[in-house]
Order: sequence, then structure tokens, then C-alpha cells
Amino acid sequence: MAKLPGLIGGLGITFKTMLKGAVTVQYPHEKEAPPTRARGVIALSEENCTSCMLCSRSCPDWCIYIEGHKEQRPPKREGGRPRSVNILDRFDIDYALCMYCGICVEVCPFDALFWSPEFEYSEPNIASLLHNKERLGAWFATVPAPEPLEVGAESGKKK
Amino acid sequence: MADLATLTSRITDALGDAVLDAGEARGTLVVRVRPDAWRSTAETARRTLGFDYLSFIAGIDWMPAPVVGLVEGDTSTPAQPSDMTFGVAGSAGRFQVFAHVQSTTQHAGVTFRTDVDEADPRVESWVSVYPGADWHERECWEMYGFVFEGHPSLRHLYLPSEFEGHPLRKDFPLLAREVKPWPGLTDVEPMPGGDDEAGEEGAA
Amino acid sequence: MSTTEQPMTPGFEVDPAAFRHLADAQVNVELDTGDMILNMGPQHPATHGTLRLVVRLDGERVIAADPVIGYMHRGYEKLTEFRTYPQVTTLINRIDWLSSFANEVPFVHAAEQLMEIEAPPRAQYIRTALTELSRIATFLLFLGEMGLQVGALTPAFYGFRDREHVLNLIEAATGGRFHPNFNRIGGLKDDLPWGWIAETRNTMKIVLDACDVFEDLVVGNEIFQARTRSIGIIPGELGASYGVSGSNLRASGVDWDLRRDGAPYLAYPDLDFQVFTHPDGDSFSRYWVRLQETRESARMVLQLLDGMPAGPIMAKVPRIIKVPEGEAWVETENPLGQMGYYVVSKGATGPFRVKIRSASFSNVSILPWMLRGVYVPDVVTILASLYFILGDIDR
Repeated sequence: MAKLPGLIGGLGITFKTMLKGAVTVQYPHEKEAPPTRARGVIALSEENCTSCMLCSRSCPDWCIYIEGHKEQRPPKREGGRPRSVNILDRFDIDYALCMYCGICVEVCPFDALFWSPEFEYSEPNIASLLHNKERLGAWFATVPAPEPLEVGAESGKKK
Repeated sequence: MADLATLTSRITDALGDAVLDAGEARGTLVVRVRPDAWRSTAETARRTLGFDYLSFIAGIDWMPAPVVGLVEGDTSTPAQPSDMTFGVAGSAGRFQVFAHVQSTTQHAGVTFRTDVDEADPRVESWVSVYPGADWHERECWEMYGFVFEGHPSLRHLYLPSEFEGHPLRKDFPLLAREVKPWPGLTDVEPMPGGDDEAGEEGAA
Repeated sequence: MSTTEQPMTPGFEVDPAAFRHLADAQVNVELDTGDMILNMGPQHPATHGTLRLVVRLDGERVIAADPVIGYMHRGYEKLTEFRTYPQVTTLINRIDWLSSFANEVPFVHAAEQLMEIEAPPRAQYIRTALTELSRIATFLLFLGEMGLQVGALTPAFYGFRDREHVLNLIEAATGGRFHPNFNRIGGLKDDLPWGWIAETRNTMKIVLDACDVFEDLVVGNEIFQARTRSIGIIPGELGASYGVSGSNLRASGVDWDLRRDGAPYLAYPDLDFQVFTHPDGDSFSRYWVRLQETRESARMVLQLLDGMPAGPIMAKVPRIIKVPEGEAWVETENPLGQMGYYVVSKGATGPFRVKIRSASFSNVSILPWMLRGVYVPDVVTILASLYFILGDIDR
């Protein structure tokens, strides 16, 4: 192979790239912020949840465990009937099984579940990946506000 | 794209009395042929009709699956109708084999179907016509138990060689769903004072 | 599991004397060597996942090859019989995980055909844009890693570096880099976020520059050409009878692209694009065709952004989706080849039977024929050039 113009051209490209600098993000010292919609973890708003079980039913992996009971509350006004409310005893999401599909968030009719872009919750043992009600409520602080939509989107479209 | 009516008549003319029924599914014409004409259908398709591309060969089990889940009230799994109905072009029984072939030049395709006897599931192999049928028929045998006569070596493709049973048959259970109880079952405690509504609503 | 437990496929019984005329056969005749069975995989860097290739060698030449698949078999067709349509959409993302948006499209299209609803035009355009972005993402990886298989380390890094921009776009729109789960029956889950169109335009410039880099760095490289030209030739007609599809078949000269020639789907009828074929049918032509298709996909995305209609992204669908009784077959031009779903529905909330026709299954089934008489390093080149994903083979 006497003349090798292709090889010389290739060497030129690698030389130019070398002068440009590295694009590596040195995680964990530098971190890239995930986009607003990134599906990192699911947060629970306990006050909205009525234990309707829709999320648990629609989960493809059966990873949501819900237990609740009903309690009596005093009537809203005088002479009315006592109301019964659903009290949530247990709401666990097993992140070892969760496939981050988002069906539970979408299906919830009471807006009790939200996506948050937090992703740094890996654990040394699998059992700790079962997030209970309190932990899911704590993620709520990291839920971002919904971002504006692109030009041409239908306004007023709820998620 | 070939007009559907011309395509139907071309195929039924070429196949003659091998055709038992023909119907239209969304996106494809379905032609059901006699089981003993299965390989000759392939030969006609490749040589006469110009369908040079083999898309797939698969099986179908029309029997409705037995009730899933060990517990009543498992509403997460879709409930299929409990009576056995057949699709487009009908069927003689529970099992069928269907294959889709296409033409790379005329941009038309057709799905051929044939019945497979439940007691003696034997089907003619397409390997001598379309060499690509080799793997598709191995998969079909492994998943449904259809024996393809004329296939060079019918052995397991996906599953280990010691595997017993044919998974895609409807009476083969999906163990993952049977082993784990559905989490939608709740222990709903009755309200103090007893109230019959609590049990129903809690498990809704 | 040793290969002696099962009978061999025909081809293993090919008489090795057929290869004795080779120049190096002199050595064999004097030393009277035997054949060796080499097991490549399932853990092997060249096999793109858990593919096991059992080859019988005469020296360095392959006499016969038997791919053993199924290490990643997840039983999709059984799983879909027990799940509702939205749950199935979630699952099928994971068939071809490098271009997962493209896997959802034919299934959702089949369900929409059975329900006789049509996604609104804006949804069709966004679906097409995301499908083409998935195609760019997976092809950039291919352009890089085929160089890697042949022995060049640099293109692999470039491929991953440029791919990051496309994955960021997909994540910004759908929430997931690899598993978007964005299609819904009737349209899409959400509209695009603010600034996405401008960001995509910038990214397409990066992609087009990257294609030029791959052209200079890899395609023009004499060593790469020597390694890939005339290696692994698939004759067009034989490939079609095996079910080889997509860029592999177009690289053998068969001019067939489902975006142009199949039943119209998504926004492809509105687009003006070129289909590339190459007459040789060897590994080099497969690389070349995919490189041109990457460029063409970037141009298609720019056309889609220019012509993006305004409006809703979801048609009117009931809350609980029950698809009426019927059967539907939808096939699309996925990056790996022809992907199709044959959906049989009986009116329930979930399908009765879904036959998933995956491209890589048929692409890999031609390996026993193709690998006869090939040197072992060329086996690696051929595996790289066919470009299969194990999830697509094994489902």
C-alpha cells in the first residue's frame, strides 16, 4: 500500500479532535442536570390519595403495594351524616421492580403521584429499594413545576 | 401497492382449490388454505406469484386462556371472552399456523393460514421453498408443539434443550403471575361498628 | 451445554476436504490435523449481546456455524397476552432498546387501526421526528462500533459522543433516554417542551458533521476497506428468502424501503427523501448504506421541524381502552429492518395474541449460510455489519 491518503485524512481528524478538548463530564464531581421531564423517581402526595387502587392495578410489574382502611369523620355541617374517608396505611413502591413506565402517574385520577428527576438513590441492598409512604412523600419536594410547551402546542392541555 | 381485489383474485386463481377461505384483516389479506396444500402454497407464492420475501411463520392458539390468577377480583389482567371464536378466514380448530410473505418488487404481501390438528399437530415445512423458514419453524415447534415435516432438524431455539412443555399454548401458565399474589388485594379492616360497604369499597 | 447433545444443522456435515485446495492446506495435509469446535459467546465483546456462535474450524476457516440464541428470551408474546394495551406499549420499548421509540409505533398504529381512530397530524409529525431521531441514535452507535469490531478504537468514542446529543433530545421530550414510552393509542402522551425544535435543529447540524467525520475517518480508511470489502456477501434474492431486511437488504441491491413502498404510516408520505442501495452486498456496503441513511434521517428531521403543524397531540379516546375484535398487521421500516406486529384482538382491554416480527431474528438466521468458508476475524466483521440487537432476536 504505497499511498494512503485515507489514513492521513483520518489522522488529521483525530488530531483536530485532540485539540478541541474532552467532553467527558467528571461525575460525581460534575453533574449534568437531567431535563425537567426525566423519569427519576415517583413522589406521592398522601393527602390526595384515596386508595382507589388504580395505580396498583395498572402497574405492569405489580410493584405498588397499597393498604388502607376507612374511618369515620364528623359531618361537615350540623345534622349531616358522618363521612367516611380512606386512610392510607401503606403505600410502597418497589423500585427494584419498577420499570419507570409512568402508567401509575398517568392513571391517577386525583393527581397524587408525580415524577421527579432525582435519580441518585441507589442502595447497597435490594430490600432498601422499597420506598415507603414517608420516603415517597419526601420526594415531593424535588418535583419540578411543569414546563411551558413548544410553539404550536394546544394550550390548556392538561398532562 | 397492489389493489386488494386484484391481489385476491390473483392469489385465489393461482392456488385454485387449495383455498378454503379468504378474508381481510387490517393491513393484509388473509388466505386460509388446506393443510395438505401448505407447502404447495409456498411454492406457488414464491415461484408463480413472485412473493420472494418471507416475513414470518407463527402459530396461534384460539382457545381462551383459563382464568388467570388464583384470586377472584384480580382486575389487573384483561379478561378475554370465554368462548372460542376464530378470526378472519375462520378455523377448523384450536391451532393454526400463519405465515406472511411479501414481494420486494411489487410491494404487496399476503398472510397464509392453515389449520393444525390438535391431536396430531403436523404441518408441512417451508424450508425447501424459503430457507428462512428454518428458524421460524423451530420457534413455532418449541412454542406450540407443531411438528414440521421436512424440517432438517427441529430442535429448541430459545429454550434450553431440557425444557418441557410448549409455552405459547394457552393452557401453559404464566408462572410469574401465579406465583406472586396480586398486590391489589388489601386487608381492609371493617370499620368499628361494622359496616358492610367497607369491604366492597376498599377492594375496589 | 455441549453441541454433541443435539444433532447438528446440515452444513456441519460439509466435507472439510472441500476446503483442502487452499494454499495453507499444504500444512494440514502433512500434519493431518482435525477440526476444532470454537465457542464464541455468549459472553463475547464481538457478539453484541448474549449470542453464542458455535463454529467448526479448519485452521482459521469456518466450515460450519450454528448460532445459539435464547439467552435473552423474555417471552414477550406470552407476556402480551396478560397485559392491557398501555402496559404492552411499555414492554415493547425493550425489544430493540437502542431505537425504542420505533418499536412502539407499529403496535400503537395497529391498535389505532382496529379502533378506527387516527392520531392528529401534529402527533404524526412528532412521532416521525422521534422515530428518525431513534434511527440516528442507533446508527451513530453502529457507525462507531463497527469500526471498533474491525479494530479501530476511535470511531466508537465519536459515535457515543455524538449520540449523547440525540439522547438528550429524546429525554427532554419523553422523559427517558432509552425507553421513552411516549406513544399512546390515539397520539402521544405529551407535547414537546419549549425550545425543543431549536435544540433539535442544532443537534442535526452536529449529526451531519459527525457523518462527515465518519466518512473521512472510517469509510475512506484503506485498512477498513481491506477488512470489509467482499466480506460477507449476501445475494439479494437469497437474503429476501431468508427474511433479511432493512439496510442489509438494500446493501445487496434490493430497492425496498417500507417508508416509501409499504402501506403509508406516520408522516412519511409528506416527506421527500432518498433511499440508498449498493450493488455489492458486502460488509462495506452495509456500512456505507447506513451512513447515507443517517444523513438522510437528519435531513428528514429538519423537514419535519419546518413543516410541523400546530394542534392537539391526542385524538379522542375513551378512558379505558377496549380495542374491538379484529386482526391487524402493521410493518414499519425500523432501523434494524422490517419490524411488524400481527395483533389479534377479541374486544378486551388487552390483546389476544401479538406476533412480534423482529428484524434481527431473520437477519441472524442467514449466518449459518453466510459464515461457511470465512476466516475467524471476518466472522467478527460480518456480525458487526449485520447489526442485530439481542433483544430483537430473542424478544
